[in-house]
Amino acid sequence: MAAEGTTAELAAPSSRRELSEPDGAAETVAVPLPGTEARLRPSRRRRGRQLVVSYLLTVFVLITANFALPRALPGDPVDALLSGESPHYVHSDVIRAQLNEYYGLDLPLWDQYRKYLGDLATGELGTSIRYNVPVAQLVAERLPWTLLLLSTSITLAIMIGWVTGVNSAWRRGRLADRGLLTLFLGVHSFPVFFVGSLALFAFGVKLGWVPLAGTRTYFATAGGALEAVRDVAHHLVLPALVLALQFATSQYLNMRASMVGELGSDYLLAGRAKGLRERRIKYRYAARNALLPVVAVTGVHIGAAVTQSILVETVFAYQGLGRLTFDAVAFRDYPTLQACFLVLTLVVVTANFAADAVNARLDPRVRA
Amino acid sequence: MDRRRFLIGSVGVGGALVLGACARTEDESPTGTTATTPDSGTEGALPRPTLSLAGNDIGLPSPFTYMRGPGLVHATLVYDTLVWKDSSGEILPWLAEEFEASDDGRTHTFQLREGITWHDGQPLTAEDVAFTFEYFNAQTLSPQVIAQPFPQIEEVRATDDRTVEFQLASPLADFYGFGGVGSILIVPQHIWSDVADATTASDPALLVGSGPFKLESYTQGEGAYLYTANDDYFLGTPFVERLEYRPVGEALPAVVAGDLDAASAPGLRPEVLAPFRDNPSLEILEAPPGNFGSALYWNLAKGGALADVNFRHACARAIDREDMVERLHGGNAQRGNPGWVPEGNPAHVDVEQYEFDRAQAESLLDEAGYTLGDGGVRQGPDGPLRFSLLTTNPPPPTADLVKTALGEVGIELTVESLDTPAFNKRVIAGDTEMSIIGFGGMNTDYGEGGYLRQVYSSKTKITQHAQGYENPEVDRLLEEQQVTLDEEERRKLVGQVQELIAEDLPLLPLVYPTGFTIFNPDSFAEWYYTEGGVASTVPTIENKHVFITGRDTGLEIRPFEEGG
Repeated sequence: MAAEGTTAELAAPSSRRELSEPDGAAETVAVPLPGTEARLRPSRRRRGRQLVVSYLLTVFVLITANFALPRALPGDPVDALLSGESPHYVHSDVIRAQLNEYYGLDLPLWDQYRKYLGDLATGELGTSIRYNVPVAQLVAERLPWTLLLLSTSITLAIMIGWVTGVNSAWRRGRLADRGLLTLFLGVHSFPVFFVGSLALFAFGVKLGWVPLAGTRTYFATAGGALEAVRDVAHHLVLPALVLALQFATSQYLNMRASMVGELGSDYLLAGRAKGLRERRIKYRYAARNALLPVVAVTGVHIGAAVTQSILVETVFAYQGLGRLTFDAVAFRDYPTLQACFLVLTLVVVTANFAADAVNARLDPRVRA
Repeated sequence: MDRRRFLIGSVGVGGALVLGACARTEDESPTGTTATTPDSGTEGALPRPTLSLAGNDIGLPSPFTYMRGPGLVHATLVYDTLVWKDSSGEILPWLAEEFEASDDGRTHTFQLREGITWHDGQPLTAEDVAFTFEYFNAQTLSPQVIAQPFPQIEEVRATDDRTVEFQLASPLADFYGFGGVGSILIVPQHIWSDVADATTASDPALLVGSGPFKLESYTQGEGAYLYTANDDYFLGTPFVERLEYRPVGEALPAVVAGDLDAASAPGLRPEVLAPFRDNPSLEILEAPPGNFGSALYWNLAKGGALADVNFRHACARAIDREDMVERLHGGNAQRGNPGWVPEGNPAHVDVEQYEFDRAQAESLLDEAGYTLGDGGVRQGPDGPLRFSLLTTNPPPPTADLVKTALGEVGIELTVESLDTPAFNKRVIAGDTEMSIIGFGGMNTDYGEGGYLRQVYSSKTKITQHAQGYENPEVDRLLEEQQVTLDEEERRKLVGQVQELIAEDLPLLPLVYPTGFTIFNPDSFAEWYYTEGGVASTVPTIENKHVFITGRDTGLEIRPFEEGG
């Protein structure tokens, strides 16, 4: 955010403040007048502390849910190890008991929970029951792919959603607006796995533009680093676009709605009166003000995007954390599930935290 | 699963639209077990191939951690057994160059080949063989590993460096096949003797075998495996240089796209197969029937109608299995056999088929005292004929057809579908009424007797076990065939079992879809289905014999040009 220096820019936030009603009283306190900085600091610190405590509490509740949910599913890891198709798995009670004992599944739930918390406190994620390797290793292999997919699609979605949202609102009711609105709502009304399957069929199977699955070409022998990057991008493009399109819809709708709210504002009129160019009024004046509520809900939407990334990774056999979670559910692999949920929830909570922090930077009303 | 069906269906429908109703000029491809290959022995040198196949995670391919049948097949690339098979199904000497059995069938002596070494250069000795069997028995075995020595093996002893002697408590008909020595992978003592718990050992560095391939890389969870040829293999430098298992979303389109050299799928409808048949660069190999199947189970232990054989016979008559073959697979399946053993298997005998006859089903129910009550549901002495039909999730297409068919005669089913772990839990706990369970490999050597015993004997316990079924005569025959060495005599016993189980009908096999392999003959044309299954138990095209020799029979390696 640029310094609140020029008169033009100061005019914008204040005019907005006048429009927004009830918490006017609090706002007068919150306006950072020169010389009041020192007085405000303790309360800001307290607020920060409250925020951290509330996030820590959230994480603790989530950690407990991560322990409880997998165990609430019918069937356990040992049931999952017995294959449905094969006649060769003799389910002897002895083997079952030994496996339960080995993986600590025979302990009372309370003891399992205590051990889980104790392990977590020391950063120990346990050993996967399906793969027999440390869960930390599995997560470390998969997380980068998910982060790559998420960051690419979120960046794309924000760019697409904001630009189309601003312009759609600017041309409210015209053909471009109606077209964009129909397109986004249309895409949004189909579940992401359906859109994904359709895209895969069209661009992967029929046109052959993108690979059918995976994060990279396996066992590639030729080519250097540049070729490897190109290969990863080639595998990334379709899943990232599908996820971005879903995420862009919510960004678009919010941006459009928020922007429409700004359309009749006096400060826009003032800008026009000063003879500023349309482009400047649209992006620097209106969009800038419209951004606040959009940023505020972006954290929540990132949470939804993380959930949808699990579906996208499954459809595209994209070997990230979502795919690992999906497989872990199928195998009731408790330690892997716990770790995947933990990391995914941390991603969501961090995204929320970041969105809150950014929002606080942008919006003087929540800054105090 | 849904997506796979959608994609395969789409490929099929798309292909059918483009190609019209598809003139099937090469209709009825040969149902033999081998592809048309050039005559062995007369050909010149071929380029040495690298093959790509579909990858799924089957665990680390050590003999103690692999998963399921495909996992066993992977492990056999790195490790060897004493004997092995080619396409003919004949037992070939492998690590052992000679073997003989005593007259009572209780002592077996194996003479190892000379000069076999492990991948690390250490010699493979009779001590390693003895160690392997001991070590296997000492493991707390994970249920994921399917090949385990039979308890009948009393002692395995190395009498000198190259001779090993097996002492059995009783003769074992299946000794050279699955569960005897046919699928027990010999491991090096110097690697494993220090590993206490082999079933949780996950270090790829442990994978020192004697096999034709070495594991070059394995991506946990994704199922990407790369094997490279062991050029010092005791039978000679393997014909195939590299084996790549690539995880792909959809295997069949990946063959068309050239990403894979071959892929298999069961029960494909003719219109799905048509585009592959019409593709000049692809060929199709058809598996013998019985690679896969599914059956309708009644839980006899629940009593009431479920325990009434007349009720089960009536259900069987109400279900049109021929129609299932047509409707679900367009004819590319065999009708399920109440005697369980598929037609074409040497152990198969003809049994009562319970031909579809709705009127007869109704009169059977009437006679047995199940009278039509309100709302079209019959009433028995224990209440209305309303049952849950448990299936895996998503429910197999057979579930709807069974529900509709039984609904027509006044039996009301509610389909209940659960994912695998939840499904297994219910089945193992005996918490079922009626259910549909899938299985595979009925056409293998193991399917001739051992498998039947696992399914129908009251002394065994597997997911596919006949629920609540106990017939002392069946139990006795199944135990007896295990120790009967005379093949003809054994088949007679197995035949009697088939008649009895068809009469008692604790489960009704519904369909046996035909397996198909689609491959690109330009990269490799020698694919075959092993008679009786790889390792006597896994119905697959991936017999390492073909990767080593590039031929369908014998141990002579096809000449090749390097750098192809």
